Amino acid sequence: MKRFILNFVLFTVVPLLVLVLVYLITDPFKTIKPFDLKNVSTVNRDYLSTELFLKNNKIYHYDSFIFGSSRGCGLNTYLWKSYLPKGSQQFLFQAWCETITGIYQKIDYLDKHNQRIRNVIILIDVPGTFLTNQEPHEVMTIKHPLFSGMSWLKYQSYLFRAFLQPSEVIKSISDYTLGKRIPVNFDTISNDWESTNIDSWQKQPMQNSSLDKSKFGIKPKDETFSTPQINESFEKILENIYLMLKKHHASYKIVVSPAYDQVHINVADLHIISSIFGAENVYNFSGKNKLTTDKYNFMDLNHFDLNVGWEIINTCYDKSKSVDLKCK
Amino acid sequence: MLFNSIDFAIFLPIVFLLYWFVTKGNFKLQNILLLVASYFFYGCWDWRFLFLLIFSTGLDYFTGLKMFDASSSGMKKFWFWLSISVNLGFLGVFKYYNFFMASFAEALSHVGVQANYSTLKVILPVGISFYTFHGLSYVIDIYKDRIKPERNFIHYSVFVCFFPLLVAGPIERATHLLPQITRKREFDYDKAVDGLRQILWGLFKKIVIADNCATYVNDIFANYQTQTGSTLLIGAVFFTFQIYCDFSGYSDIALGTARLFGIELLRNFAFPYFSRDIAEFWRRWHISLTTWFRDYVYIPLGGSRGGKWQAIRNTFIIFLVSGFWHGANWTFIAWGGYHAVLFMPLLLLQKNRRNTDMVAKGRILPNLKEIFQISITFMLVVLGWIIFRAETIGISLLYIKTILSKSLFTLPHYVVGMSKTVLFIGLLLLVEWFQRDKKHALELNVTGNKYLKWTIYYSIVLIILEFGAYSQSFIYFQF
Repeated sequence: MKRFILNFVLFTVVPLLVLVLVYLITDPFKTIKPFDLKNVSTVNRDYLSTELFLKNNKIYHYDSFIFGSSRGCGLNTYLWKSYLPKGSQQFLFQAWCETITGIYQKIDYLDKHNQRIRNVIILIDVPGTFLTNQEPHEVMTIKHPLFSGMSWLKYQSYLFRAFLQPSEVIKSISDYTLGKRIPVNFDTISNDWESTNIDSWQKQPMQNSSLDKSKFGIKPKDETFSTPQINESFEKILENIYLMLKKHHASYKIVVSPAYDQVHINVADLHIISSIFGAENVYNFSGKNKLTTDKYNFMDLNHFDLNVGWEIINTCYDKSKSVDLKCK
Repeated sequence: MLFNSIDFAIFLPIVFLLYWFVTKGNFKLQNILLLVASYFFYGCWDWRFLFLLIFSTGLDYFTGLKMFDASSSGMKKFWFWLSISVNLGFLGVFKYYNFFMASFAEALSHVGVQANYSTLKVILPVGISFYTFHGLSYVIDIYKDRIKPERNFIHYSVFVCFFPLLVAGPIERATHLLPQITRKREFDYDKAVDGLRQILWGLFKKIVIADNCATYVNDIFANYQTQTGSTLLIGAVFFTFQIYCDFSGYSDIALGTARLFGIELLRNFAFPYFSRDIAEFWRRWHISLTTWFRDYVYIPLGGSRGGKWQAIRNTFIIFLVSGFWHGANWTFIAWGGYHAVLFMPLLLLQKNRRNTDMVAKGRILPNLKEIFQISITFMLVVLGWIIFRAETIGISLLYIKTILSKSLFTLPHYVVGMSKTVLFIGLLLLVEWFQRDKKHALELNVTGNKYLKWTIYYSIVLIILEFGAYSQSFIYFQF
């Protein structure tokens, strides 16, 4: 028995302790040491958004928020600001693979901390926002403990598990020893992804010519509809979000995101969203339309460009500039 | 609690240390510990169903004693049928109620009667099919005077609830497991090390192959209408490996875990994809269930003793029941029926027992005939898995139809992304082929080079950590 235990400890416990030590020293996901803009990790957008919000909010007192998943990278809050009342301070409160539960947790947090909520855009993915089986425990998508209520130790255990990937261990050690830093490719005030020079952008919309468009594949001939996804619990969450926005007298827009696959949001789901938030506040860009037909509007199958984001914001706030969604 | 979770990685060493060190070899204390650990293990999934598990255990324990002590055959029969009906009743309510009601209403609608029925929003208690079958075999064996009832409730409860086999088998027999529970267990170094090896191989199969295959399989089966025949074929082949690695991986972990506690469980898989015909496949696939149906359904029905027609009838019955055991869907029944049809020619030509030993025994490589036989059997099994995996029989037929279309000869999607998974499937087949005469693929010579063995172990650990997909639940939990 002693031999067995000794061999087992040598085989597992010793390497594990070494790895724990490496993890604590290298801090691969930048979640152990205090948040520092000079040394961040963009692996988990939820963590980054939350920490940036906590750091900045004392100074900027944000009151306008865009909630949503990575598709929100196509929305630029500075463009949005031109439609907001003077003095508004906007923030892209984004998380990779954000779910409606994640959005609700964020709004609930803001509400409970007496944060003013004046303007809101909620970006809905088909089908990501209402994925029932989505596990939030992967390194990219695990929720900040502030929202999930998970203990810090458990949170770190999930990240440590991701760190155990040998290539991640090697990368962490080499980054640490070489002092490599990830370049900050987000706006450190608004949290916009890849902050752009707005003036130059408006003259020359991004077309992502560098991307290999052949990887986009063939679109299905007919428009397809997503299966119903909003169950009773999601409906309840949507109602709670609505009540909180109403409580804050917030101006809000619910945007169903366009995607290159042209899958249309389920009609019943759209009806539920419209009945809760009011049809006049719901903007559906899913399915086959002008925006989703042109592959140059997308960075990949799911993520639209800034020019699409600009058309979305125009459509939501200025009817005269609204995009004709009919497919030509 | 999943075998491939951190929770289990913490739970198992704790139970192991308590089992061997705190109980000081007292098997009664060990059994109490195993029972508490098993209830905890099960309760982590949903503690409310613990009551059902305890009730089911208590019922079979009690009726077992009553049958044995019955003063008349009438009383014995009464207790026997009470146990059988309550056990099957639980299965019927939790697993099949909605299916039966829906099928009945649909049948009535064909004759113009619109029946209103209410569906039950029931959660299927995990492992119910497995522990119910444990209990049933025990009760039937007592009724048939094959065994005497176990009078110690703790011992009996461990037989039913022993955590490695509780939620997805192997389906044990009282004749095999109970004697191991009721006697003192000694720690055996070689067996424990081999148990760990089997756990490691099980984790490799589950995390590296099954979970990686699942990513493609889920996507392909969900969007079968827009996929080419070649992509659908890949989806079907991947599912073939997914279900094998998922379930046999689970069984490997269960068997390995049990060995750490000095307990040997029944073997559940014996390299089924090297089978040369369907009969051999069924001797190597989910062995504990197949033999259960053979011993408790096929043989009591007369087996093949009453002539050809009886053998045909009984074969169809066990295949259909075996399919239905997997779940409340016509696809499972159709899958069972499909295998029964494949089995028939072998049965009628009395060739169903021609391949009882391992393929290419004593040789490194198979001959051309064996390669041909293995390939044909494998493709037939793949077709069966399409029926099993599809949501409806109609979808499975459409799926097969698309595979057999011209688009079979186009380049499949996902080719680049799936290359790693294909590589690991190749590794699996290679290792299993060269180890096919062993109990499991990672059974190594105990006196071999320690450094070489550790290199192999660490290589597998590194592959799991580097290439393992996001962990998903085990497929057979739903059954």
